[in-house]
Amino acid sequence: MKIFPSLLTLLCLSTRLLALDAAQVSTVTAKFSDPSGDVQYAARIELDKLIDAATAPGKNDSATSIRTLVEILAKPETSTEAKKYLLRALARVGTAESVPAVIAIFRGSDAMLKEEARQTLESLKSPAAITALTEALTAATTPQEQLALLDSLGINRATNAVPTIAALITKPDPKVALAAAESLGKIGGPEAINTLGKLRTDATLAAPLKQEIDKALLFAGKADAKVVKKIYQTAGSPEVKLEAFLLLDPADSSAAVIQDAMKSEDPSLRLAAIKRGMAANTPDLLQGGLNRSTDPFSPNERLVILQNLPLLKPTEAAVQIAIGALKSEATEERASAITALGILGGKPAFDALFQSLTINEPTINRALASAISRIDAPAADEFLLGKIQGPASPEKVLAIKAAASRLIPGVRPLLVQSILSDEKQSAQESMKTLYAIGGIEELKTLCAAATSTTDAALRGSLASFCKRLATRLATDEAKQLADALKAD
Amino acid sequence: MKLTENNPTTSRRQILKGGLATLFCGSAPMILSSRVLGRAGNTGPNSLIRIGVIGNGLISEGHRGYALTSGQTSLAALCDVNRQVLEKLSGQIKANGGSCDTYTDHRELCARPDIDAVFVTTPDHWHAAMSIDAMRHGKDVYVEKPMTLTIDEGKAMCDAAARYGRIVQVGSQQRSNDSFRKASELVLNGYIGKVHTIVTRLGEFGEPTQFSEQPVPEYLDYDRWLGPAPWEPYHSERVLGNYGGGWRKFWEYGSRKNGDWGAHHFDIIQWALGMDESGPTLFVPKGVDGEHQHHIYADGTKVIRDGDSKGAMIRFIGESGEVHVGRDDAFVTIPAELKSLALKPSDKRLYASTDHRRDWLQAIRTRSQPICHAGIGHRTGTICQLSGIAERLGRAVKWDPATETVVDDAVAARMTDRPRRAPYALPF
Repeated sequence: MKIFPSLLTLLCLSTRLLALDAAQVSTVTAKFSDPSGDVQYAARIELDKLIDAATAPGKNDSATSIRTLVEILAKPETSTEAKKYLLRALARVGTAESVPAVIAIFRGSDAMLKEEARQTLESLKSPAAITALTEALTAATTPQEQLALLDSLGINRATNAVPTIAALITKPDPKVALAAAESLGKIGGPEAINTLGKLRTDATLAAPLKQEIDKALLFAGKADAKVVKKIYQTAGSPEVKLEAFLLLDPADSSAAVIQDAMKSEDPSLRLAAIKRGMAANTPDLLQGGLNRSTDPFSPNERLVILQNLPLLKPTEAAVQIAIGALKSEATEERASAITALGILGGKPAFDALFQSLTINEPTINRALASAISRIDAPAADEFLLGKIQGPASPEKVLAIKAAASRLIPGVRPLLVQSILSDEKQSAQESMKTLYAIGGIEELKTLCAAATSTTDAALRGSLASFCKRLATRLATDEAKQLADALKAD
Repeated sequence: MKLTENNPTTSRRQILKGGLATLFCGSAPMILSSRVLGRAGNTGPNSLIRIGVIGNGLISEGHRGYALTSGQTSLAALCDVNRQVLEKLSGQIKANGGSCDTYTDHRELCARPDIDAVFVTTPDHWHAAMSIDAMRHGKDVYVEKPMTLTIDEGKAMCDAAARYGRIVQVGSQQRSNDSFRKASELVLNGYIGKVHTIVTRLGEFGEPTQFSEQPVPEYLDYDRWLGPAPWEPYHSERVLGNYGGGWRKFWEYGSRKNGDWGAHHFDIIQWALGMDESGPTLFVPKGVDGEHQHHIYADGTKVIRDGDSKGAMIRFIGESGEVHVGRDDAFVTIPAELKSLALKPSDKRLYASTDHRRDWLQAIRTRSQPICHAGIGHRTGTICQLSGIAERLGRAVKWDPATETVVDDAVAARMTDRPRRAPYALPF
């Protein structure tokens, strides 16, 4: 087995130079009867490689090679196992010319080969193959055969088979009827759509079948605005109505339609309507605000609104909704509002985020770090630098905290000043921020501060941050800096 | 076939008391599904999302455990073609005073109106059909990676998710890891300059074999295990769930290492390159134009499989630096300080999640796209599958990511899908 890949490589190279001939194929297919499973599987690979090389793009004698395969397939003395794999190969490389030989097997008596041949005919996608499959459906008597053929005809979009398939929908076998509806949906086109349209009004059909017909009709007519609109207006099941709503043409999903869908009993449809309304910036969607008293939004709907706030215009209104949601009791809502503010940007959003830095919850902190880092607020950096340089205050501590997620040019020396000052909170926060930024320059800054201070407690804190940062950076330089500090 | 009945009198608390390690399924009294209450898609903080797990082999254990312990979910039903597995699991549940519905046919589980969402954790050849069937029955889906076995199935999954308004999370959970995200943000924002080469480590499976036929165990619905895959005689090794091989070795059921580790690492590479809606343009198998399998993006960026990754799972090489990243928070940058660099306000941010399953639940509640939705799973799956097609054909395959079509190779184009064995059609 160790030499197997090398042999395959050699085989690949050689087959690129040689045309396929019957003797070669027979030699390989003979190995399908070998007692060794490894040999059998290798023969399968070998056969595929031979065939694929002989039919590769640019091979002039590709048609001859395929003809050779077809001749071998048609021979009575070719083993069943060989025929099986030849059929699978033809499903990949076969042409219209291969169809008659495949049809002959398809119409034969070996059930296993018939099924293999059906799959090959399905893959060949030639008119003759489709005709053979359609004729077979007319003659089929068992559900197993019918299901198989319905699938093949659907995949091949066999418009000529529509009447034959439609007749099966009213047959008693529910599995066949459902598969027939599905097949018509896959076939599509005016005739299938027309047929399905008539069937959906047939009062004699069972509800599950009618739902399947609606689904098939939507699949076939998804590009047809009239079909979609009609199904949306008349759908019997919530699933179908939702599907139709999602397919509605923008012209058919006006503000009124969206507002109407928002009143639906089906929460999925309501959420879809809210999302569409936000995307379309539909006026009055949020009439009464996020906390409206009539038909209040559910918690999930509020989250959807907050997540889609950046779509809403004017931006000022969206910012105000987000700021309002910062007071929510639900952590997820506050986190979503913070994220929205980060994207929306501007001074009011920045101010709200800055004030939120007083909160100390992991989920909120995470959202804040991301929002602070991305917020596009002119003068945000200047504001933070001004606070960091300023006298001790709670805002100064918040500004230092913000610097951890928003790398501000020129902030490092200011943080060192804070560390060495007698403002304990600012000093502690500055160390955390340098550690959080966490590059080699920050490590150097922390080490230098540790070396320069005479305060033993501060030095201990700095040394601890240096050690942890050096471990995180895991470079020789970082290790040397931390070691030097230890030696001091 | 429904094998057992749910016992509505068993509380989640009772089951938790019974020991989490052995329990995978439970029900919660008085907490009715959002769907039962007619509030599908509106699962609020106080209502549990009712989960079904389809496929209860190797990878599913974590999902089952999560469904039981997340606090946001209850585990309503299990489905597997192996009755022995179902009996073992339901026996464990019964021993702990609970009960659970079990099925051998996923369609019966999907048809249950009280189930909100499903984990699809079967071999790859079943992913698309089961996921789409769940979606068309109004369920949200967490599907293991790679999302599908073929490119056309990926397109069908995206179409179904959009049409049915369903949430699909693909189990490419490296996206929900801070190190992978930060590494990707550095690459995406040009902090190592223009990236020209990426090396990733996938490893190799051994070759499969043509097993001699064994009798099918009475507890296994082997025909359904094969499902849409071509018929082959039963052998225990063929159906084996094993990270080192088993079904993963066969092209009929998976995409070998390209779909195994490739589905994780190619996905992160796509993310880091900002290519979630596109993809490479050329796929070259091992031994053709070099000793390593590789694929190339339109701008020349080359992704090499199993080259010198410097021990990392993914090594991004740029003009001015490198980023190496792997699991267990293995994250190294050259230069080192890049690692903790704060992004500028103008930098692009990637979707941040720290828990892949929780992100899915959040998306279910808010009907928003999760971190690895069907569109992303499809594009990453496309890379896995085209790499496999090139490998099987022994030649380079050109791809147009805009039209999502193979260029100038009719055989490769036909391999973007597969025929399906009757009666296992792909639903829409």
